[in-house]
Amino acid sequence: MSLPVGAAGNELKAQASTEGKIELNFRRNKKQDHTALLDQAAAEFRYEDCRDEYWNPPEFSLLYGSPLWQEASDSQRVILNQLYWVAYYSQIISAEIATIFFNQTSAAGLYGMENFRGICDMLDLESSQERAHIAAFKKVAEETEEALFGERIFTYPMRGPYAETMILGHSHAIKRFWKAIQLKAFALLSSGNAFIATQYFLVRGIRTLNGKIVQHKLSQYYQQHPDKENAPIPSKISTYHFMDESHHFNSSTIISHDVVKALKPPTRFERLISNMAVRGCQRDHFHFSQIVQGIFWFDPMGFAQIERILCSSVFDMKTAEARDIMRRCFTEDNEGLQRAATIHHEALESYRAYVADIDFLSAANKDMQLMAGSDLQGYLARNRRAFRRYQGR
Amino acid sequence: MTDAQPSYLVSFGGDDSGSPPLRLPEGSKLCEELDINNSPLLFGCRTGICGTCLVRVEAGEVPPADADEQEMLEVYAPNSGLRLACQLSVRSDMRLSRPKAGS
Repeated sequence: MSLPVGAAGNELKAQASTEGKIELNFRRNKKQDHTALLDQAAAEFRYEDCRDEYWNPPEFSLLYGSPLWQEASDSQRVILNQLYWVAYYSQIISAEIATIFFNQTSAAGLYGMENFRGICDMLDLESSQERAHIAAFKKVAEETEEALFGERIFTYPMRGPYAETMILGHSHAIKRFWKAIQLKAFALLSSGNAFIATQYFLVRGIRTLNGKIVQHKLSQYYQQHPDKENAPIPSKISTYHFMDESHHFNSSTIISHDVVKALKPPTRFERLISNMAVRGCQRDHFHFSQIVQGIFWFDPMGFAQIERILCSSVFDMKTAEARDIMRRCFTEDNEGLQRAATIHHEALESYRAYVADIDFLSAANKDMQLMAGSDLQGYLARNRRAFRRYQGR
Repeated sequence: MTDAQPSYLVSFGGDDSGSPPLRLPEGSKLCEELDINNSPLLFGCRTGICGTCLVRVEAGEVPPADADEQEMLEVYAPNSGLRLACQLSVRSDMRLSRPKAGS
């Protein structure tokens, strides 16, 4: 990205710095690219080889800290730990499918201006890395569910980028239809507008920031494993993914915080789109989830999945027993819920810090006011209503 | 942290001097012990590539930046004396401050 003629001294310095950041990030990402390792790990994965092991630190287990976790046997806890991996990365697959597409539409919007080739080349590498991530996650998640249940629980058949990213979000058919229209509209706008293209990366940066909060802990399981050579492959995949995503988070920040300053100030319409996108992100991250702490699912959308797990041979519960423990997990305060709330709060404060200097965001978005309205009492009230409806099915 | 394990106080200066200090085990990595809930520091990538966690080490023992960190600092904060907090471990009492915007 070369410098515009006649720019003032501080602007020259800032833009040289942005060029330097892009070059460094791209060079480092190429050097450390974990695509080959991910492909190898996926090819070598056999559930039987690591079926009796934790894949993540214990606190990253499905419904960790809940009555289910407290009462589970050691072997059941291992499975809950593995299912956290399956569920978490099933969500990440959805996000990365969208990322592959919007990387390209945004790159088009930026490439339409002079001198943005460096960013586009960087995003091309990231998109190819996302495909390797998805392939590895799918292999492990689908084989695991097949081995444990003989059916899909959290995984799903491959899908396109206009599907709602949150796989267990608070949604219904009309919301999903409207979301698809919004995503198509955003793709159209961002591919023809450099400012709006940069705003995709503001949202991507926020989402990736949340990802880093959890993923660096998931990756630590392999990094601190006493026998790395024989560590479970899913934990290796967590680390490889974490390393690639460091560069993706960085590029999101560079584009949304630095490159955007090289563009004309946004018009009123462009600011509106940006603020709508950030508000949409807040809406997606409003809930806290006990099922997968760190992914902000709407837990009632996961009741059916949890019941299937509990009634499977893993827990071997009858429906009434399963629903009783679900009631205790989801409608009563417990350690797992407290932990989910703490993780949500960390994400909230992180997002506030991340967007603090983005001038064109509204005060409500800078303060993440919508997301901040989520609390324990609201969680329990919504779950109690939803659970009553669920029990009536 | 056991009674026998050495620990040090990590405190915050500048605009964050009101943030309570934390006692952390010797050798622990700042990015594994600190987060936005218990400190004013925001960590991003935690691998030394994004510059989100730039800090000034106002007091305390830290080793010199290695080549990778040095290369990052030359791009993200040239001639500033700043460090990447995610690359630092606790070796003594420390006082950290965040750089002001534009510095």
